Amino acid sequence: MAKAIRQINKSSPNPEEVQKESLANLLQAISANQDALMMTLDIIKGLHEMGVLEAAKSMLEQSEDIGAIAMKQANQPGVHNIIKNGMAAIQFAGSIHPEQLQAVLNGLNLGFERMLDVVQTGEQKGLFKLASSLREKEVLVSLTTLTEFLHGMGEAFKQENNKVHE
Amino acid sequence: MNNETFSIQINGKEFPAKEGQTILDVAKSQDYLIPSICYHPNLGSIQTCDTCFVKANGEMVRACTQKAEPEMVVDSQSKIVKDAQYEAMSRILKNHELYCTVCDNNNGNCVVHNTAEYLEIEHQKYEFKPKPYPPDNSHPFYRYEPDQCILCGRCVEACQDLQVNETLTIDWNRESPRVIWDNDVPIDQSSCVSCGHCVTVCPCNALMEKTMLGEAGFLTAIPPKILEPMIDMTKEVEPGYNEIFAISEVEAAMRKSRIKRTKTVCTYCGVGCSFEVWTKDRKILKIEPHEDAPVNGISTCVKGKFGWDFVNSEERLTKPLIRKGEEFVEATWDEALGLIATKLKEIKEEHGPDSIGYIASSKCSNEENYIFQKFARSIMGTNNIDNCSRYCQSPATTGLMRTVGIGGDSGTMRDIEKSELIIVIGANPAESHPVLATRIKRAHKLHGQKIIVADIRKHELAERANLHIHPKPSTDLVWLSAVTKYMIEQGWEDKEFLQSRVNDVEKYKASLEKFTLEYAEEITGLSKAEIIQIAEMIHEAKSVCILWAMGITQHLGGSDGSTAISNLLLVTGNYGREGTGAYPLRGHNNVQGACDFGTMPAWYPGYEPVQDKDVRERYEKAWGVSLPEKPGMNNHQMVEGIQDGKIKAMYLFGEDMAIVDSNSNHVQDAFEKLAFFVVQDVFFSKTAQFADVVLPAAPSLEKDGTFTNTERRIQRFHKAFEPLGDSKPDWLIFQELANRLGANWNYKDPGEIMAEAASLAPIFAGVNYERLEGWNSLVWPVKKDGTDTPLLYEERFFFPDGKARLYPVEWTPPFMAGKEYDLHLNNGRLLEHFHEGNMTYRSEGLTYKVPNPWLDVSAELAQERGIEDGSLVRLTSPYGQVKVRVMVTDRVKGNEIYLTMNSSEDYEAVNRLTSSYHDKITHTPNYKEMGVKMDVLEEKGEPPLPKVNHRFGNRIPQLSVKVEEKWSRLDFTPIPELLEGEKYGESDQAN
Repeated sequence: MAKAIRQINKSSPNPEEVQKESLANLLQAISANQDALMMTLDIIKGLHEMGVLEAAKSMLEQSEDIGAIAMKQANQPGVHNIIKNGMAAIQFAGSIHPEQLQAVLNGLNLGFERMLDVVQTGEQKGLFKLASSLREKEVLVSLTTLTEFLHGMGEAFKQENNKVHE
Repeated sequence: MNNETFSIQINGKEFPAKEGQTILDVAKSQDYLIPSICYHPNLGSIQTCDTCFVKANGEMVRACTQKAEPEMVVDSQSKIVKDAQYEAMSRILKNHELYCTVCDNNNGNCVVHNTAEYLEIEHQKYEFKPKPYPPDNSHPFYRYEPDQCILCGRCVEACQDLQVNETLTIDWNRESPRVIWDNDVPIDQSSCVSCGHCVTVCPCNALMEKTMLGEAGFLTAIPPKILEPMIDMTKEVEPGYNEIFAISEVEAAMRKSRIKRTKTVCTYCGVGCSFEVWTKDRKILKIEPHEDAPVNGISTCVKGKFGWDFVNSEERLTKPLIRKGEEFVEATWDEALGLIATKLKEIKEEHGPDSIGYIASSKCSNEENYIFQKFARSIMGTNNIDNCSRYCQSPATTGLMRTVGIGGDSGTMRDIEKSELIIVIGANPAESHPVLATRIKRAHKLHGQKIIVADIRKHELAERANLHIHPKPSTDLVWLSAVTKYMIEQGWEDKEFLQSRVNDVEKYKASLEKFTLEYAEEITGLSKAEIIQIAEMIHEAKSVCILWAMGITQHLGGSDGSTAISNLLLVTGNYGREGTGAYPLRGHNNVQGACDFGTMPAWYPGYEPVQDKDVRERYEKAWGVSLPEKPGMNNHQMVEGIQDGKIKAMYLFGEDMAIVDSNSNHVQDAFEKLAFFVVQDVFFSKTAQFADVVLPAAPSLEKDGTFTNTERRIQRFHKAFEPLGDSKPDWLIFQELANRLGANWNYKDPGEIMAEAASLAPIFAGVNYERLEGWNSLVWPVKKDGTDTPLLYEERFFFPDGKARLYPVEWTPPFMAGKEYDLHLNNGRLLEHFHEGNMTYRSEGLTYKVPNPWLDVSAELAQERGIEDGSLVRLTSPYGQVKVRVMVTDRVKGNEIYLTMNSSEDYEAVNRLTSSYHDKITHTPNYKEMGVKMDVLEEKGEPPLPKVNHRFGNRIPQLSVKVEEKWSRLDFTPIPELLEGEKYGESDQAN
């Protein structure tokens, strides 16, 4: 004969035993990682003395408010510019053909070497000599290149100008 | 013409196409991408998004509607086409803010995200404008965020024409159109049945499961105070959407390692919906249906979509319990199984193997049922094993076995969809088989399918039916036979079919003699005209399916009523062809499978009789034991056996027999007399209260296995997470117990159990787990080579000579409780709760929508007795009484009342009222035949059904989303017109 019953005696484990077991597990982990834990404690002590922990605790507690303030600060034209400039710079770097850049850099390198020679020797050229060096092939190539650079830059400026007045 | 194939050219490549396919269909069938957002394979074309514009023979058309034609030349990549698609996408993004990385829908399957990315949208062409409506968070399961809604209308199409609940529309006439519920009421107060179709098909995050919000993403739990400026900042500094997409894709990929997606099969009704469950640890994020699911596609009902909280319920059993005195005490598995083994052995030795009864579960898997019957037969030596089909569809099985040979649905959902005429008798599929009902409602609404409903209640399908008849309770056999007789008299029987495929025709015709129209009119209360109309509708339809359930089976003459249905189908030749057949709708997810895999007193797996010597020897050889020859006791006989002292002990799993068996006073009284009782369940059920040992089992999400749905379709489900606490899968518990009793079983996983069953039962010969991978399924009988049988009887009926048998039946008048019991008590399920609610009440949302059982009372009766919504009444039958609150409704008529069965409390459980009378063949109780008297206890009270229930809503039926209204808005310019107006005037080149 078994009447319907609803009573369930949950042998919920003795809280003291549960605590004891967790403590034993913890102790085992501590002794296995003694060196690392000691060093961590030193670091924590230092951070505590500097007041960093207290600040961090407050920040965590107020994370939503602080997050909102941080976003407000970040969401400013200056920061937008920094990010946009950063991205523009990266895009620019990405758009240059490496071989061409290599050629320009080689040119710069040689140019610098010649320039430094002059700086070291203190040599000065007369006006006539300067004028005649304009006829030299190397100088002409450089000047043509620079003029083309100016052309290109001007073109971009002009386009930008047109956009504004569209 | 339908199968004629030809080819078309898309971007210079040849594509095979079939008559009737659209350009988009052709492309999709070859996995070729043409962008599209509003098109969905389960919904068809909606024509709101315009992203699928292509040029076909030089003409700008929507690929989702333009039918492919031979020699057609399609271009989806030229500049003008790309411009059109880009314009369409830009218009969509005017309604949708892209903040994918912090969006819970960024899971790799967001259609808006993926399409915008594919179309290389770089910048917002039209400024995003929030809509002037707040989000609607009123519903417990999902929310609508108008600001993110792209107005594609998928949700409306799904609600109107797939689920056909007709709640959602888009109001195109306001300045800012939006989706509205009913007449623009909060979702929670609408006619929404919470089926989840709209949420599932939403191509973005406008409609989302609340369980996903703040949970799916790594960054989505950020509070709005921080999130909003973050979104603003991202938009301010973005170089283009490209970079945003890159970041969001990385985030989506990261989510994959955190969110587990597991295919499962629904554990509620017998329809057999399959879908993925998305989980994060033990948290269920959502149910994600899939268009490839063989039964349901993306369809679900509220329980399948949202009713899974029970798995993580605090009330789950997590440890074995042993009765000690007046209480249960938690025990180890070792103690519990040790005690069970000792006790069962003792009782078997002292009283013989047949002194123990075994009740199997139609909620558990095929493998678990197989191994349980193997345990009962081969280890414990008895055929005393049964399952809950005894309470529902055994009479249907009998009716079909008598006439056509197989006790299951003749075809599948495809046949029900395609049939010209659906007859539903004593069943309420819209609540009890919701997804199956959607297919009927859709075919009826869109494709002219006709519906006849025979029911004493005006339920949803009855409201929609072309003809709803209301015969007197328990008289269906009479009108069915009268219709059959009338049709034969008119010469409308299928003579050729009867001649070549059916036996006993003349004997049967003679048996119909008494079923004249006059007799039927007298017994059923239907008019002659109604009976003739049914006959005419069957005669005019080229294909007929008859669906039935407890309204036929749970009667004294349940088996005969089922037989009459099958007889009518045979006489009219409605078997063995597409769109025809008999469909006894199975109630539980695996009631079909439990029967199929042998938890029945007279059958081995695959319906082979235990008395058949050859069959028995096959099992004896395989299992290495000798097996009992005589059929065992069924559920009903076991209960009587306890009363007679023949049954001393029982082992029951996954079944709340103390509640669901009829005349529960009597059943509970029997349980009290058992010397030893083991109950294995997920929860501490009413039945468990009588147990000596209670074992904690694991539900489907915590194990592997297969279920077989009402179509005979076998589908696999997979483990989503580990069993809770110390609970275990049922099959593992049986194996461990069997091994303690001397078996040496070593099944590593359920796949091995299925392999064994398939090797022994011929109808499952070709079933194995490899063939059931992913969304694949098998409809039995399955041949060794894996060929399955979605449609039965195309060539032969399941008898030795291949011919069906007409089987004469007589009408059995119903049980009458006596004159003083003046009200007819009907009872059954609800949409929101499954059965008594053991699982569904663990869901806060479901309980909020339906907190109580209630009694439907007609307006006439309410007026006569002076009661109203909320009145408390006592119902008394000769067997017991219940107290319940009233709802006044036009769903029932006159003195017929309906008590919902969603309660485990004795004082309101319907089976306190029902009797132990039963169908004479199958012993299925006559749950639907009871008279009661009613006393009013309180005239006023809180209505048991809250106003937030869909039954109080106001549906707004319409076809699709009414895109024409969008097109006629003043601010709408057709995209081809816009582009041609600009600079593409010459686009219609003739080439």
